[in-house]
Amino acid sequence: MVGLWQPMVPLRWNSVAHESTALLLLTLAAYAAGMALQSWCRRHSLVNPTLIAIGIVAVALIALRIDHVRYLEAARPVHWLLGPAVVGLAVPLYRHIGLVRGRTVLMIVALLAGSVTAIISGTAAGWWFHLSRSTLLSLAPRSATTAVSMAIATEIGGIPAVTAVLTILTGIIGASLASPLFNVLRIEDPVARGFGMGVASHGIATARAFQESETAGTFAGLAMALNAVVTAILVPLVVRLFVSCPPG
Amino acid sequence: MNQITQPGENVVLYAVLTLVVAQYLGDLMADTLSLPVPGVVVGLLLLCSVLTFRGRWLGREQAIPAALNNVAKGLHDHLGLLFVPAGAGVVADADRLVTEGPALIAVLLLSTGAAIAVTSLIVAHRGGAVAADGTAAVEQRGA
Repeated sequence: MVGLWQPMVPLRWNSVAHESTALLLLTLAAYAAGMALQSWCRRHSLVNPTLIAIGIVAVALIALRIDHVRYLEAARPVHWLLGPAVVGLAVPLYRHIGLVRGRTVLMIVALLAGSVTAIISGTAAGWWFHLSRSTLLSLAPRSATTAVSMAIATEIGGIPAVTAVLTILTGIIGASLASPLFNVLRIEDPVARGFGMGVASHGIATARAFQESETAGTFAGLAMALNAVVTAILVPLVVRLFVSCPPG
Repeated sequence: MNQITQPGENVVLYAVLTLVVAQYLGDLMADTLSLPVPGVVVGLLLLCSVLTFRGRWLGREQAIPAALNNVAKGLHDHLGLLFVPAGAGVVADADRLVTEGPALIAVLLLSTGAAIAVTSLIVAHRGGAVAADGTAAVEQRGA
């Protein structure tokens, strides 16, 4: 067996390794291009490096006719880091949890109400627009930060890649919509502004909230971390309650 | 190799180990107890309770080890990169995004606006009455 495979294995391994490295390089280069474009546009909230990178990679995969499963296999080292990154959200969560002191009940009510509104209004509006079942399941967890929303989508039978794109779009929409919305609603309190942005639109709106003020940004970060957990608990429950048909 | 090994390096290793162990235990708990919550989120909660215990024991200032803080911050600074491989999987669903795209954008605009409004109105509505009728405020203003 060894004699038979010896000349074959290193050759095959080499060609696969080259392709994997090239695909990994494509991922990193696409993200670097997205970052460069974002800083060139003065960090405008409509210019999102992740969305740009996904676009570049998607176009390259279609143009070079590379199967996306093959691509995900090659880019697995980057993808794998999502796990430790989500677990690491415990650090900012622990650091900022003290901020709720003195208004704990208010914050919990706001968090739950915001989270439920995001899940129910999104799925209900999507259902009204006749979106397909798998799209609805991919839509439900989108207010949680992308890493968590994708994990929830996997759990409930949605499509993680669709969830990733919808989550990022939710972030961009929240970051752009929040300020005019607060002006209409006459909400000036930076705590309220930040918390709302973090619950509905996770990290992308948190970055926007930090541009408004330190207080808004910090509360947005806290809200994002809390809603990642709450959405992970609520979405499977909501799906079980409202989608009575068996998964698949 | 020994010349370039710095005293702090093992500490970074322990920080990475902590994150991966928490993730593993989270996955294990989610699987064995068949929790509906993703294992990584269980891992997040496990690590958060460990930090809380450390905070009780050592004081809040000492609760988060510097290396763990740095590793977590390093991952979060580049979080956007980590979604790219999974996100690029949309090529498999490109048709869906084209046909359902306009409706999805409308849904996202409506729903995200509603969620921000509901959350922020509740938080802005401070004072004694809120704890009691917070839910009522949602129904009145959010609908």
